[in-house]
Amino acid sequence: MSAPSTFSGRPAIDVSTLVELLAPALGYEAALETVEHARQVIGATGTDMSRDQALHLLEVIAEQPGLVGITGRFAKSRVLLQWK
Amino acid sequence: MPTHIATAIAPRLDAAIDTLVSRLDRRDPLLILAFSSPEHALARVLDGVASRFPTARVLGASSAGEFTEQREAKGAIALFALAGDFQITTGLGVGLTEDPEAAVKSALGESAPSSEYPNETVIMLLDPLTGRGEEATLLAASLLGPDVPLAGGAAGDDLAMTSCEVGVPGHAGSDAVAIARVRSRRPLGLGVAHGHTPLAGPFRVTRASGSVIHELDGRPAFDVWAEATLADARARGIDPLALSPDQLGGFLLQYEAGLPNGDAYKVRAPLSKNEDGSLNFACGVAQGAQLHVMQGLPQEQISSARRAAAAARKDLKDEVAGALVFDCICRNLILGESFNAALGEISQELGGAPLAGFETYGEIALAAGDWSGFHNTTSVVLAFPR
Repeated sequence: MSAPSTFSGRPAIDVSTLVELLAPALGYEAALETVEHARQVIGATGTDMSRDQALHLLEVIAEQPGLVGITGRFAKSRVLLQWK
Repeated sequence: MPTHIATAIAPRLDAAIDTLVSRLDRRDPLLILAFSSPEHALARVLDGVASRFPTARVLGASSAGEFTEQREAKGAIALFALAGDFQITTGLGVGLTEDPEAAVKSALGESAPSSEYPNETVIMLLDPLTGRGEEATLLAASLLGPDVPLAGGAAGDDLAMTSCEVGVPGHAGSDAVAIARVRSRRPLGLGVAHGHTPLAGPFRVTRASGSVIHELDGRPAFDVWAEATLADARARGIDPLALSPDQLGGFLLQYEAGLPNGDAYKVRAPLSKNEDGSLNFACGVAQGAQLHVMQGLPQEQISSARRAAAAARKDLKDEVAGALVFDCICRNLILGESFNAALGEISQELGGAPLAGFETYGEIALAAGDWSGFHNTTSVVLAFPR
């Protein structure tokens, strides 16, 4: 249930890493679907994202209602601290 | 000042308090947690404890079974008292269903950081029938930051699934979250483990709203549940197609949902069924998720309890003064008479330390680095250093 140790300091964030952040609360498939939807919203096409794109993606997820939004907000609050 | 933990369990409040007073041996407790069968009004229990220990912070929950290191009981009251060198605040937030963030903020209140007590641990009790278990946990974790572990449990009501209460003196009720913020000189130890494995699935959540799963693979959720569990349940003498209303909660808690996450499963508890065959869960479940119907084998329930205790003790790096234990009611349903053996395993793993807790409808354990904090089917152990 821990974030991958390679997360901090990476120049690019892999989409699968973002899915792993949400999967413990949402389950893997729902996390994948949530991230894919958010990628479409922000227009991210590649498998790697910049840190700013990844944060934007989590913000989009955080705006969703219910558990999905709260999970996105929680993930964003944690990665912001990790990326300091 | 060394930590001292006293526990008591009795079918009546006055008897439980008398035992606690004796075991405190003239120490003044800073914090008392009361876990009370719905046979006793929680508000009266909390007020009664507070009037006997006016300087202690008091917090409590209704339960589906109560226990200490000595025994498990139904219809009883279990008390846990903490004395020693700690700073403690408590709070209550109501309206958890409508506005979980406001409720959690209210329960957390204000607690300024202290250089004298650099470690903080939050104990959280909440009403699971709101369907906001994970939401409340993640909101609290977001507000507190990554250095504050959370432990706790979701209140029970002896499997009636109608009203689960939490509270502080002067205010107890449903649709609420109660919190104790414990600041300490040394960190506390937290362990969590479950012993469930997939029985059937995966099934896709094709229609869900909030904490209600309407359909799995396009069919009413309960129909899928009954079909998936039929053979195993019948082997245990249960017919999922002929359950009376008072049997349903216990049945569902023996066959919970598992969300695949890597090599492990995040378990979610179905609490009740609606007339249309949809199932109400203790926290939100996202549409699109895949889940398995899980089962728990008795031996796995005992070994997982021991694993949780071992993890808490390892975290502590110190002798254990005592522990709070939040244990899913499903484990009691699966273990039956052997449940006391599981309690014995926990206490033994903690060096024979006193412990108290209750049988929950959900457990809370979120340590630094965790990405989810609301659990089902688990034993959560929060150990205090001597």
